[in-house]
Amino acid sequence: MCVQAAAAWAESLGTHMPPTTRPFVGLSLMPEDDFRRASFPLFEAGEVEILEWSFDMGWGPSGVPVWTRALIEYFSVAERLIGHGVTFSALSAEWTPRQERWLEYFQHEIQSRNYLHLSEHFGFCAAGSFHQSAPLPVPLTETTLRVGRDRLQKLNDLVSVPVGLENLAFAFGLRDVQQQGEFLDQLLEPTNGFVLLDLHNIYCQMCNFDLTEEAILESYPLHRVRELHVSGGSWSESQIENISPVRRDTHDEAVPENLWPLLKLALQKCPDVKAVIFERLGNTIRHETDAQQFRADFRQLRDIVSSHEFNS
Amino acid sequence: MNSTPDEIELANFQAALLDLLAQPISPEEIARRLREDEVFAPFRANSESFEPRFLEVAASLVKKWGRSDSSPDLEEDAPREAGTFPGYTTSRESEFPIK
Repeated sequence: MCVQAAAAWAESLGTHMPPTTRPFVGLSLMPEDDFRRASFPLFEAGEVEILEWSFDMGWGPSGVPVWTRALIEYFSVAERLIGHGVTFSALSAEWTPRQERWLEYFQHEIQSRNYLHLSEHFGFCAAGSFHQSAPLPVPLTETTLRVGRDRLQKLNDLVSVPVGLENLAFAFGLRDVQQQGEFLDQLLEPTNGFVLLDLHNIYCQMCNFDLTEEAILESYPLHRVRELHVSGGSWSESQIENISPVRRDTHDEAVPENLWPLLKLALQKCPDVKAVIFERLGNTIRHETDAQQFRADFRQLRDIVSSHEFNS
Repeated sequence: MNSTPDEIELANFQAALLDLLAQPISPEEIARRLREDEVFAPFRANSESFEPRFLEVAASLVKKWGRSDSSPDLEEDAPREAGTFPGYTTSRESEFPIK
């Protein structure tokens, strides 16, 4: 799709964006072609009310396709764009030139587009010679709390919209699971930040630690939840004998049936949710049946949010 | 930015943990190193709660998504106008670490 065609197409979506008093329902945008093919029917039908963009993906040397950029710009102008960073590493103890550059790019990003709010991940994904990895949890200590608050303050110093953190799926053990809600609350308190509550991450911890949804949800500062993530995942078999498989947040399969009741419960318990975002990784929608499942999952999510009774 | 001694201790722990998880060793060996290596000592009360099956997952995550200074596909700094964030790798997949 050429730039003009992409822009015209994105502009044509304008008639499908009615205001709503419930949370907006949207997609996490992926730049891959399989995601484009699967999601275009949803965009063209005006079913996508808000767009989440992992903006630091767009800083890579390959940039983003024109259709991706057109969508981002369209939702930005419509004030229906939210940002989600992946590589800042908010709980890395060492402050590095890489993070300084990340902040420079972040500042450029937020000056270029209208984000309603911005989030990053709990945990650290860079340290020593590693400039990138998957986010890993850290224990709640005076040191980790001070470091995390400092990083959040650095983000807040650059923006005028709310800044939040997403809960992690991965935990080294039960202690990480039990601490994360309190840790997030203490991290976010000085800047009045928000929690991006990923429900499949909660589901992973329910499966991996044999915990109930109530037990995990109640450990989080639910009054801070401003955004929900919904996705599928997969099971990882262990090479260790007699060890249960591990549920992982891989964003590459259908949403598990048990997640829908969790979404309903979260909507009941989180009074300030502004957006519910469906995530599916690019390059995982391999067949038409996958694309149909992708759209079916999104529509089920939308139906649940639409039918939920909100106090306001 | 000046780091305090406890931040340096934490930074050393985090760097050593990523290095350890990136090595081609078993979860049992990772657990042994966490118990015995001096760099992990300040956080041993926490790392004793690490379960082998999750050390195994963490190791696979770091091997899959981790990029270090010695990674072969590390990009050189590129002009900002090109939309390039220095330190990024070239493949689309490796730009998006999942949890």
